[in-house]
Amino acid sequence: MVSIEHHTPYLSYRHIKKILIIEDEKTLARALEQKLTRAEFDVTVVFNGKEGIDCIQKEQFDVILLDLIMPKVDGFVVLETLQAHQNRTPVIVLTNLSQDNDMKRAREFGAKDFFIKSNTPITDIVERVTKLLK
Amino acid sequence: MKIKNTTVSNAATISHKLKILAREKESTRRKLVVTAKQLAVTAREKESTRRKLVVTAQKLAVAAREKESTRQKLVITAREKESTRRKLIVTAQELKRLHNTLEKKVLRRTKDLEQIRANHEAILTSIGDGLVVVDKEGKINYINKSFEEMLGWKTSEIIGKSMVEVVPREDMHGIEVSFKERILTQVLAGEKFVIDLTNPFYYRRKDKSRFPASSIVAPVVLKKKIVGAVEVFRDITKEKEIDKAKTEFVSLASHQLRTPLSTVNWYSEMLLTGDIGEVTPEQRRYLEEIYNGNQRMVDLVNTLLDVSRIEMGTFFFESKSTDVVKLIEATLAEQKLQIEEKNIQISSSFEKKLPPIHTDPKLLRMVVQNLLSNAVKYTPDGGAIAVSLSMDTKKSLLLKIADTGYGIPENQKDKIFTKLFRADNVIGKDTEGTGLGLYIAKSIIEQSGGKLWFESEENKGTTFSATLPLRGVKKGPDARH
Repeated sequence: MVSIEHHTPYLSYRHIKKILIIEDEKTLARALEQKLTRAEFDVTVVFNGKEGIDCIQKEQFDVILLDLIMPKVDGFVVLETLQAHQNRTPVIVLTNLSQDNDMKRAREFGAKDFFIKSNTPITDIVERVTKLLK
Repeated sequence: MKIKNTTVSNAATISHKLKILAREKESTRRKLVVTAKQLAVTAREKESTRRKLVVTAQKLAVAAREKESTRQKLVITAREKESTRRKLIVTAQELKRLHNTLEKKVLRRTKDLEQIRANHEAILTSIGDGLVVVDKEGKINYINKSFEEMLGWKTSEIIGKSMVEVVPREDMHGIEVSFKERILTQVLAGEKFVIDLTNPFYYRRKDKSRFPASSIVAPVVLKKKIVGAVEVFRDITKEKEIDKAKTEFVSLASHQLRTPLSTVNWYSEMLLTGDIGEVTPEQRRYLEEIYNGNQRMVDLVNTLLDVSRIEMGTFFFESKSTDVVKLIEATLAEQKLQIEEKNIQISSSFEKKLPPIHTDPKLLRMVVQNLLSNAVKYTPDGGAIAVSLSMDTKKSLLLKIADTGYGIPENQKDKIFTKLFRADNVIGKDTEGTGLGLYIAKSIIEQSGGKLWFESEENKGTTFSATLPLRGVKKGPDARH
């Protein structure tokens, strides 16, 4: 497993909050990127879990939006990796899986929130992120 | 002189003769006297005899009468006897016939019974499920062929041995179930009656390998005493594989169907919120149509997924203390817009100090949402809906949602909870219904130990009632037995 820098609170001097989107569906990733950029966040987008872990390794983010089903490395593995390295960056899971055990598993791995994409307006996601980072 | 002599001699002779005659006469007289006497005696005897004869004659007459009577009786008896004889012949024939029939029946039955016994034996032997019969000590009396095949034990090796000791049982986490906790032990002890173990476990074979199984154990009761137990178990390896495949399918389907729906949702939403510039009112209307249409598809996918989760039992009943009044109020608030649009009067009455119930709020909310949105959808403008919650029994609450809507047609009442069913009188009024809401609601209520029913009159309204047990929610699929 790759080593990840610990999230440290003293980094909060940054004015622009950094958001990492890990989502393999490019159209959805782009919509989120656009919305969050308009809300004045610094957005990084990657399209699979492997790239996501690489990103987290290099940079410190304020919030991670994470899809679960992705090629190469899925969202559960990303969560597991974060947990294993005690990286406490808040993770909002955005997925289309709605089985109770998926939700349960994601929460057990430390996900802060769990949204089903098709059931959630994009503005709600932006609001949730904004509220979380206030 | 001569003449005189002759005359004298004649006279003498005559005298002599007379003397003889006199003697004879005397003799005859004496004889006659004797005879007379004899005759008198005879006459007396005759009289006596006559009298006797009269008596005898009378007796004979009596006897004759009696004889006649007896004869007549005998005639009657003879007739009766004849009749009886005939009857007896008929009876005998009947008996013979019955006997023959009976014989045939007995033969047939015996044959049938033999057939049945052979069938039973064949069934027990060849039944696909493992079968074991134990006595009241838990010692094995009988095992079938499937038992032998599944567990690797031969009848000759295992008869008389303790089932619990010879065949270890493990829970899904691989922990061996103790003697005391074994269902078989508990059934034999009379602690449990019939156990349907739908939750799987593992059985260890003779060669120490194991397989997932489910079983039913029931006591054998004779004259109200437990004399043993029967256990039927099956290898559920295949079921587990199928279950896994089903879960994966639902998971995949939900993911694949929802991704394009999310795309349409988010992009039409972004257009509507003017993210890439203002849209004209007409464009907005079109976009709203797209958005709403897509939203309906999202709802449909969600509902279909709920149905498959119910059927697969993958719903997690995450029970917690739930304030049902609050839950109802929140649901009412959610549907405020539709209620106001149709100008529907809402009245609610909640009994004071109702205890919270132990249930899964997410699922109960789904039920209340379904019932309430049905009431709103199927009540014409200006109608009324009454929601009430009260104690039903000490162990459950009673929820009622009554509307003054279109009602359910009499001939369709029995189908209303059927999956995908929609009543004739509302299909034209509401095009969005899927016919799944009530099916889901009933499934959830029943799985949590309650009941859901309704009373309805067409064009007058419908009242749905549900009992909500304070406690009694089914455990989640990972619950251990």
